[in-house]
Amino acid sequence: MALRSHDITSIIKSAIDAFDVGAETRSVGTVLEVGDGIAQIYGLGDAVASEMLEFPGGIFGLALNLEEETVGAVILGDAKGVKEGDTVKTTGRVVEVPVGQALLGRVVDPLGRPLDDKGPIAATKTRAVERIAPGVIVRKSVDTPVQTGIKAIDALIPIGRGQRELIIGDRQTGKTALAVDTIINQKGKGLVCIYVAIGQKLSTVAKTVAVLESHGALAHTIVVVAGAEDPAPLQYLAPYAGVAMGEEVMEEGVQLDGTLIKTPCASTTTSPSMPGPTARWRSCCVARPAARPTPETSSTSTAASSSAPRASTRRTAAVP
Amino acid sequence: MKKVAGPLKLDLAQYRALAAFAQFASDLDKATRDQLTRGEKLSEVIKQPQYQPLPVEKMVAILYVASRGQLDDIPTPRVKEFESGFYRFLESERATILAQLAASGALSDEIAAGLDEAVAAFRPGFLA
Repeated sequence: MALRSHDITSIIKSAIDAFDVGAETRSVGTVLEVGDGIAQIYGLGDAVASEMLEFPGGIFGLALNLEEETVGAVILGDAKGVKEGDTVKTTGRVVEVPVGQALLGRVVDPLGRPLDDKGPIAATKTRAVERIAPGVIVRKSVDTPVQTGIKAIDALIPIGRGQRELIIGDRQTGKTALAVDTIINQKGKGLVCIYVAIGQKLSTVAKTVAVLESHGALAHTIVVVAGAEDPAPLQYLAPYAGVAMGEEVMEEGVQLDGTLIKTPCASTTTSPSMPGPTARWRSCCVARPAARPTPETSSTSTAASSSAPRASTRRTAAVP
Repeated sequence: MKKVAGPLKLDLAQYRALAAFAQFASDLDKATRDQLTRGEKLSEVIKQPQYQPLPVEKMVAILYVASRGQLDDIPTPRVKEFESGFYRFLESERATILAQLAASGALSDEIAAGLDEAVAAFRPGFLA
């Protein structure tokens, strides 16, 4: 085929049109020192508080200390992969987690990364983890029960949608069992459950997930895990991440078996038993739990109603 | 549920108060003995194995039956057996009562009468 000059110029013209230099502007810094899961970074002048920073190797960090010349960041992941001299980039996003339909039935870490070998999470939305809780006026009073399916609770100390419940007891007394039974009972009841495990052994969590799956309860549950070996800030984030996912269910709704579930969502957080009594907090609040979980406490938040409860009443159920 | 929960809480509370006292007292009058028996059966019926959450209509049914004293003459070790047998009986032969309870969520006089009748029909077969 003979190439005509006309063809050549049109080819060159279309190549020029299609050319996209695509320059990316990002604020970067350099790691000065790394230790104890914390990195001091030089640069990053425009990082905002609690912003997610990206370290090489796909590790994320949280900018907590904003000083004049440096930024102190907590590494949300394995700090061994970060060394002095590494380049750190800002992401422009304050801590957020993927939320929505794609999370149902999955086991994720507090940043939404999958832990269950079932493939990547195809989430379409993310939601900021730190949010101002809805005020008193927009909340509705509690009027619908959460059926836990446990006679002693539903008869003697019933819990309503929008409430919080604290389960306290020594280790191995059945605290998680109560929560798991409640999750199992929500099958077909239009309640999405979120189980947040903080600081537990991963084998324990794996067993719980297996139990949920064997009773067919995983389909309406999201499991958020920050295990014992995860850094403290990740464990701190876990309940907030769980509540953010719950708020997404509450505000946007998810599809479960063909019906749009918008109303409630239950989330349970547990933490390991320390020597002595372990406190477990079952929180049915619309917004995040009021008290920040310390390593000894675990909070269980269940069922927020769609128009939010007016007063989140807190009841303590002591496990006899 | 609240209708059965009210008497249940009262009975259990009174039982707890009496139970410690009863260990020391030798001669108990009939009322006290009945109270203790009722509390014992209620405590037994409240127990539940792991991974077996109950639908609310079955809970209401068994707690209603217990609060009416229908379990008082069942030997305590057999209360569990009675409970599961009663559920099976309700499911197979009185399914309408369960459906009514599930649908209405309230214990109407009609449903209560139905439960009374159901337990009266089930008991002789169980005790035999």
